[in-house]
Amino acid sequence: MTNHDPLRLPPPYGVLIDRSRVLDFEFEGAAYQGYAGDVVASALAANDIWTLSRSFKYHRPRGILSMAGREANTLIEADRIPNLLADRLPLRHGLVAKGQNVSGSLKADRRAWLGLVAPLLSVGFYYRTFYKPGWMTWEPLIRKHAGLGVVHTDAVPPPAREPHAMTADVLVVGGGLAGLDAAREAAQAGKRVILIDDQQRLGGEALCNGDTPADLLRAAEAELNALGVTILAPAVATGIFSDSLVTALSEDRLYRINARSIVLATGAAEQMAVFRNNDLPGVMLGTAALRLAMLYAVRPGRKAVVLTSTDFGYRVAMILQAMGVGVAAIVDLTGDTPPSPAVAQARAAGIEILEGYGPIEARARNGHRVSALAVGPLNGSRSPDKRAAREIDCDLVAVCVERLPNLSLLAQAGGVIRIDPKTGSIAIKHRPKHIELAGAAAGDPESASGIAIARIFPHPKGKDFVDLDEDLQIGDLLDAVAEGYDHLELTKRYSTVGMGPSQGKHSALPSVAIVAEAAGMPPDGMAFTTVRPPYMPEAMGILAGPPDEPFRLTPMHARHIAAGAQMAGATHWLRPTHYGPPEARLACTEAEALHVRRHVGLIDVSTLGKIEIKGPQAAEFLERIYTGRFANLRVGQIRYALMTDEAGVVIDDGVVARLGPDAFFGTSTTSSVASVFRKMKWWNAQWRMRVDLTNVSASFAAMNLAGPDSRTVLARLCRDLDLAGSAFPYMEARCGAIAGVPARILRIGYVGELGFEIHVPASYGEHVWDALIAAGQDQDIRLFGLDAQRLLRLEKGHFIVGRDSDGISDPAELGLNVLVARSKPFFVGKRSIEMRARTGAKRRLIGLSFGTGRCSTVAEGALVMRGDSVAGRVTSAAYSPHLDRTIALALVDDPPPPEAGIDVLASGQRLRASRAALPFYDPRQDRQSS
Amino acid sequence: MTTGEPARPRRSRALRNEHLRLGAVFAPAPADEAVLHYDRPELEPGHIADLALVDLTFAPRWGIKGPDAPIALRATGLECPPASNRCVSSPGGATVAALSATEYIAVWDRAVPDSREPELRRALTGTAQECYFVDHFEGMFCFAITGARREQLYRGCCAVDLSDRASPAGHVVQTRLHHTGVVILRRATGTLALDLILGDISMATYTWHNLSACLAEAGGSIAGIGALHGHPSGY
Repeated sequence: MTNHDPLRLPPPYGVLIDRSRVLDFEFEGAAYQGYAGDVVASALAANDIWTLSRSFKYHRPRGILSMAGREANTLIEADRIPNLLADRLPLRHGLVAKGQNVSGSLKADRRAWLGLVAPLLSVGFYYRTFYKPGWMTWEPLIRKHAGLGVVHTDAVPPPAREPHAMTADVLVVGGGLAGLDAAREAAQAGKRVILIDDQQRLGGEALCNGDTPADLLRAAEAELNALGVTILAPAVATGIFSDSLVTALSEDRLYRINARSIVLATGAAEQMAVFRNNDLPGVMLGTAALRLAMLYAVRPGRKAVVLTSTDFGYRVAMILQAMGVGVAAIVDLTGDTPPSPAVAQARAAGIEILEGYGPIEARARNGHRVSALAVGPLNGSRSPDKRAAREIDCDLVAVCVERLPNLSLLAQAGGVIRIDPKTGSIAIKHRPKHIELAGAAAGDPESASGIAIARIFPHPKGKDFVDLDEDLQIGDLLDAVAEGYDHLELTKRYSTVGMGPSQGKHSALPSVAIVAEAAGMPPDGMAFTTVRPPYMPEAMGILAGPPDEPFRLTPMHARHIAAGAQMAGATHWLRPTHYGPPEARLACTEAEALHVRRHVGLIDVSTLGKIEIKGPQAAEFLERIYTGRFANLRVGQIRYALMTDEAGVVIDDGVVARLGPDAFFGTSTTSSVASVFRKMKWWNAQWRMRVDLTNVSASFAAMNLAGPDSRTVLARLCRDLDLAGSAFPYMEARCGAIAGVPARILRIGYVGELGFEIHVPASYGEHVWDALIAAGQDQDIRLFGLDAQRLLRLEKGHFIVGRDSDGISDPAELGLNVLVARSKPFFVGKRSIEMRARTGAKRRLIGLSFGTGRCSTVAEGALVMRGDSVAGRVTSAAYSPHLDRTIALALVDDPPPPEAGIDVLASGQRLRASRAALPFYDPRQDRQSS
Repeated sequence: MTTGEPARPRRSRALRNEHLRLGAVFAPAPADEAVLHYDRPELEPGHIADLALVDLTFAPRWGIKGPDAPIALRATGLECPPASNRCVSSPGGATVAALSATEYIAVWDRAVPDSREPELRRALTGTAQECYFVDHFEGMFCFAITGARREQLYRGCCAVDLSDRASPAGHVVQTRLHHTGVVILRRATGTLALDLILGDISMATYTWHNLSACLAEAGGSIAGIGALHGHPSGY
């Protein structure tokens, strides 16, 4: 921006900009300046930059069309984020932007040659050409040459705030005069009102047309604030969904609004006239020219031609002239303009009025921007006569033809919109009861909206664009119809008309007219194509909101952090993987595991699922829900519990302890407790049993004290229980006090050592944890994490549901037939297990041993091979420091006999392993039972 | 053993560290789980009337469920809510909510000196077979969102209409705040608009962070129970 700012208009032009705040920015490698309040497109226009992008297919230069974010012309890349609308993107200091879909530069796009071969790239070209040798062969090439922006995966997306949910009695969409009126009336009637507008200032088109004083608009906004109306601006209502849910997007937030009634005061959008080169920068809608000037103080051109079919065009001409834009001519497409003050003013001002003329083509002599418009008198078939053509010099063509009400949201809500055959105007055949229309959206005659006349001037050389987003010309639609796609919905799919980012906002009416005429149908016989959300492009990041990963903390979380634990997420729980630096994960894990084998270790197992099952039929319920027997469980006894689904697939495992005649305490895997509890509740409801189920997972802190010295440590804190093996044997449960805290103690051995699983009220978790560590000092007690626990359980051959099993694993596959009480009359999955047993499925979970020493290559996912065929896969693998060899579990079809050799393909290497008996460690179970 | 007799059992919660970071001053033992106030206690009475987040996880709370739950509840003298998803606040300091026809939850206000909570808990624990006592003290956090502008906070974390019109005092809403499943009890007594928020205790820190973020955006503040206890509502 130069010092004299030649394209900026003085105040009161530029109601949205703050001239006291200058912002530096960059576009296509050059430095520019703009003002706070500018959008990127207005700031560029103020710097005489009118080409913003290259078109989708032919790489034609494109510029401002609507200045309202309603077309793809202004899509740019800014701060490495693609596909941002320059006419809606607020200017930021330091912003770095460039054009997109460009090879080379925006000024000199090397792919512009594609425009020269446009006749070869007609509609349906893809379908007819690229089916051999196959679409996938061509797709990368096509994507390279056509398309929109490029996603930079390293780009930092703009911050998004948490989506907001809002409710209202009345939601008004549109902050123009009609919207302001509607909001005020509703608020005065005591309704809770939300008003959404897509501009920074309320007023809509009244901000631009010069008819309404700015003070009046400010007063109206102040009145709404005083009435308690919630104003969301700038924000765009992007969709209406079921139950009256309206979505709206601001620059950084998604709003989900539920309203009892909705007022659509969304105005009416000017349609584009179709003529040759109507896409040149400098050819824009009349409203766009006014927006540039009134909102951003940018003079839209030096010399204008106004192309019009309405009184509005005359008013635009007068406004342009008033701001110093020379109006070379008003080209009146109608030829029978009714008298009006604006027409009279134009005549009085001496502006040349070419009545009954139409555009032949726009021309750009130097560079991209329009430099002249060729027009000719319209003949009987409403075509301009080229023999009497005139060329009018200009750098701005303001197109002011008929408008269509913005009814996209109405259509999304189920409204039915047709063209009335009698009046040629838009008719609403169905409007949902909770939706009202106001202002131009309702077909306000003052705004000349709703008249379904398309202004189409075909040119034999083409480039007469109907849909600028998709580079579709009149001939493309005619070709589509000629090829049999003669219904608009078919034409749309074949030609992609209306399928670009603007969703047909400017192409809807011309498309209907062209297809209808070509197909020999009256326009009223055709509906518009289906409108779907979003009304404007949405950024996925804003829909998602800021990163928000839920996390759950165990009661001892702070202790783990203080002890140097490295935490990892496990189904939302944060759990220590190991205690020590991140880079020493393996060494720490192995040391922790060895310490458990030799001395005593303590691990936080609070994440275990814990479910209380109570009631007179609790035992019977367990008989039905698990595969094993529980009715004969003594009070104080524990039994391993295996759960299968109706298909006989193992879905969970844990233990169940009987705490009383009608009271059981069960555990489940960390990841499955929610689904297990849900299934239990579902079955209980089905069976109508006298059973109460409570998920107490978070109510208890749980820790496993394991290792040969664990009894010694626990005995120091537990005075009311005899912990001797004879008094408190393996697979028994006791209730006692540990460090003064009531506890449930389970003698079970997941890691294969003498161990005590201790459950205490969650709020006492830290207290008991601290007490155990203090009591274990003499035994050199050591904390161990999830990695060590998994290594220890692997040594014991214990499987993990979902890791060592999959979606079809039944108990037999996992070697768990002993846990299936086939004599029971029923349990969930029994019938399927019996059926599967009869089929003789031979897949099994087996142990693999890789010989002495460490074999780092093998890991989960390695393939078990039989010759050149895949026979299975490794599900868990690790080096066991205790056994000094790498061991693994694998699911293998028809596995070889014990001790037989077996090949494993890991990281491209073929390794030799042998089938090992399970468990790898302490096969006689002496240690955990001691 | 080298450490001698273990110290008196002391409760602690994961959220305690968060409070300490925020400058919390805790109540003296045995109620030392409760945050009395943060670093600007003089402002907190104003905050709770406007919009505040208070940690009430120290508050006793339990539930009863089963076919006989309504009978057992009435036998204690506590008022039974008139329908599911409704709550009543008794003069004795309990807010009793009906989550369904067979499941109730009671949250006690420890500030009331003549609280009968321990007595009722004992009575219900030994109640009939078809009524099951559930201790929510360990398994659920309990926060309060107070003040006239609570709806503004909820906008950022809940898709349900939590305006006073949609769910006035005396209503119970079982919904989600962000990713946390919660039960919201809109307290029915007192002059202070106060919602009790109950959710899984393991998600207390996560939920506190999210609510704090929404609170900050809505211009609210955190507060301790000191301000609540000083409020004329008699909390």
